[in-house]
Amino acid sequence: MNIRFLDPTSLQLVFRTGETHLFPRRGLENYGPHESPSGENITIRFVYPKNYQTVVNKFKNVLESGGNRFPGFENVYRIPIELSDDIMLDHTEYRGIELPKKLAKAVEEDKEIANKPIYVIVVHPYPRWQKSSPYYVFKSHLLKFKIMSQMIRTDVLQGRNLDEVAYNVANAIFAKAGGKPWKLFTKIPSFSGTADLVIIIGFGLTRVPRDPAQRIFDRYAGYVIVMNEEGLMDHLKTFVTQYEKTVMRRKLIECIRDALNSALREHVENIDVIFHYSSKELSIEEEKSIKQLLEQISKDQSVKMNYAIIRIITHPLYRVFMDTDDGYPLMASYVEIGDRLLLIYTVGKLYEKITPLGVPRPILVSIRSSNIDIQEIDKEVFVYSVIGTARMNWRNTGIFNREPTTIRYARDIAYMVASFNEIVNLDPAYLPEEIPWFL
Amino acid sequence: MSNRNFFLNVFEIISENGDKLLCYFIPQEVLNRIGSSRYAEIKSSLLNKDLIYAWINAEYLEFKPGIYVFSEEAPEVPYVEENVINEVHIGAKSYISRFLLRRLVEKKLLEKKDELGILYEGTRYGSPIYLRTNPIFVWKLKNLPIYEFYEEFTYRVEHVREMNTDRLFLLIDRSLRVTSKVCLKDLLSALSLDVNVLRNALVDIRVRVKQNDKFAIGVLSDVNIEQKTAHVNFGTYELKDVTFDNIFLPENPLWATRLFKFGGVEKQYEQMLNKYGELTLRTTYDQRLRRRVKMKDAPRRYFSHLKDLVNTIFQKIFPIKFQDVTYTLSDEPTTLNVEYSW
Repeated sequence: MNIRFLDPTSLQLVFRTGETHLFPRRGLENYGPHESPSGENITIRFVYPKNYQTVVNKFKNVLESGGNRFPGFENVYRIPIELSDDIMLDHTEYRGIELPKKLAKAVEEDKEIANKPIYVIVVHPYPRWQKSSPYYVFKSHLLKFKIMSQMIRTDVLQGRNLDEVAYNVANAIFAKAGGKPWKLFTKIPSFSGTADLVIIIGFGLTRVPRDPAQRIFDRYAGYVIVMNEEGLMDHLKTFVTQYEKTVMRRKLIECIRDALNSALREHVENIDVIFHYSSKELSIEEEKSIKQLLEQISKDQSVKMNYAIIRIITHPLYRVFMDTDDGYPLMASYVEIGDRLLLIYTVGKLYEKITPLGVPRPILVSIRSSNIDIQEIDKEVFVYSVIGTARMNWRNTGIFNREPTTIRYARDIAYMVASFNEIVNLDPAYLPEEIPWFL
Repeated sequence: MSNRNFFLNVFEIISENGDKLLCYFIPQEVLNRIGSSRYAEIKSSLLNKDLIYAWINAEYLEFKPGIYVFSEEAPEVPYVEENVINEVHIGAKSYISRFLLRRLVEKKLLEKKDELGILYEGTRYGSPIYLRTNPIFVWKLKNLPIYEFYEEFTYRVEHVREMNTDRLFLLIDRSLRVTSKVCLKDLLSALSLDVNVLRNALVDIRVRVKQNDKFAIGVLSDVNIEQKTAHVNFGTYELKDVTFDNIFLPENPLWATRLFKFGGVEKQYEQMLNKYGELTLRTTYDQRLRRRVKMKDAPRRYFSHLKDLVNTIFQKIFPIKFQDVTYTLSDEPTTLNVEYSW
């Protein structure tokens, strides 16, 4: 078995006016974001429990004016923020599936504004499976009016460095306002070696239980996300279906068809499509349906379509060690295991000195199928597609992002769309397709 | 980097005294004719006879889909005629042998579990989980055990074909398991805490609730001070009343911070967190700075724990003999060849 390394310069990110940097924060501070949202400022409204007022005020101050490690929103993103009046809630107002009156009133006013505020909502750390969690309740009511929200957990506000929290929250707010903080410097190349367009389609399928901790499932929830060769999100479709395989498969294929049609808006002759997925729910039947769809589109639109379906395993048992004093494996190294497995270090030691916390865990990629002979494929492209899309996680401005954005939010998105549907009867088709509302 | 060695946490399984295994193959077409409603019965019949088998649904490498039963004589399988069962000889390190080895390792571990001091804990993502029965560390307050820290491990048997050569590997991983041992009733009494404190310390925090000898996860929503019960949300839209003797702390010690702060045991709690950082290989206590700092050699320490696990557990169950073949386990992890693509 061999270990190989990608050129670290390929990990660079692009910021304003095409300037590059390896580290998101340094790039943002030195050059500003790749693309700003429309509008002259970003409006933010804070919602939080009354007893958190002191810490929220401290946080607001850091977000606006900066601290030791965060230079302040406007200095980083080159766009000012405007704070709307806060909404303070009682502990009891965080219960139930309706919006508290004060919040509902503010939403009524804000929904009419063209440049809608982003709501920053402080919530307790509820588990994902809790149906009545304020996380879902608030987010769903706001999304009904296309209002974006950014949740912050109370334990994060109290237990972590506020500068660190502010940086990541600011980045997510900026992205939800329509900005693009950074993109990839090295475009994802063609694995077939012949394509004039490369896209990555991430998709996920999750079985949603009727009740938490029960193994009785009553829905499928899923999503299809399209990223271009620069790692920018082009399109996001989500869906919830009844717990029936054929219905789910039909919906998944419909979403992939939409995704491909949107990618083929402009004429191309030869396209490479890399599918990323992580769930265990993809059976041979779904794979077959995807192949049939690609053949159909290829025929209908007279385009040569090369595809590869790769399964991404985020918690493999494999680990790599180097015989140094610390043992850290290198970031962007990978091991080819047999013909079809790739063990990839999206995080690891960088430049002989920067290391992540704990023992880094690699990502395992299994090449499931392709219409190109496995020996003819440039597998390093798959490695880069995984590392590149991991670096495109706009929820984290740190150096290290482990999981590709194409699959990183699979379960979160599934549980969110299922809950939105259940709580406010929000049709997933109504959710924004070009804004990363799930961050 | 070219002068550096890289290792993978896999240990090669070497076969000696033979390179073929006898097994019996039932083609998938035969099974399809029998119908999937009878598959469970077929499986349990093989298990009851203590036969090890591999059932593959799709063709892989040179192996056709169907059931491969490892046996020295033709097995009797319900609904399957004797004349459709074929005798085949497969490589001792082939893809199919991987299933055999996995089962043999599992059997040996279970046979020697008392001697090795391990406990089988079920499976996670399809891999078996074992716990070492002696805790690495127990955090006590006034002699009451609050958290116990155990080493747990898992393994997979992996097959790799490289340059037309089959190889089998034992892939081993280890991690830390934390269990909370004390119920709220005992904890409040040991720390001489007023019930009121729970409102500030544990409301909206995840707790473990004992229900008929099993644990369920819920979120503590409120406390009824007179009744000494808590309202717990189990994820649905309803709250349930639970008595304090059935509520246990969350297994992540970081989630109970406020409780120990209110309990006046902040110093002991910080010491426990120092230990927790060391055991999770994330942080270490810096005497000079008087705070926890990032552990600088976490992978090196992990690797050393892994070697210890191989020596004290896995080398004790090898060699494993099956038919004429003897399998041994390499002492050293697999080294990777370094290649540059830039």
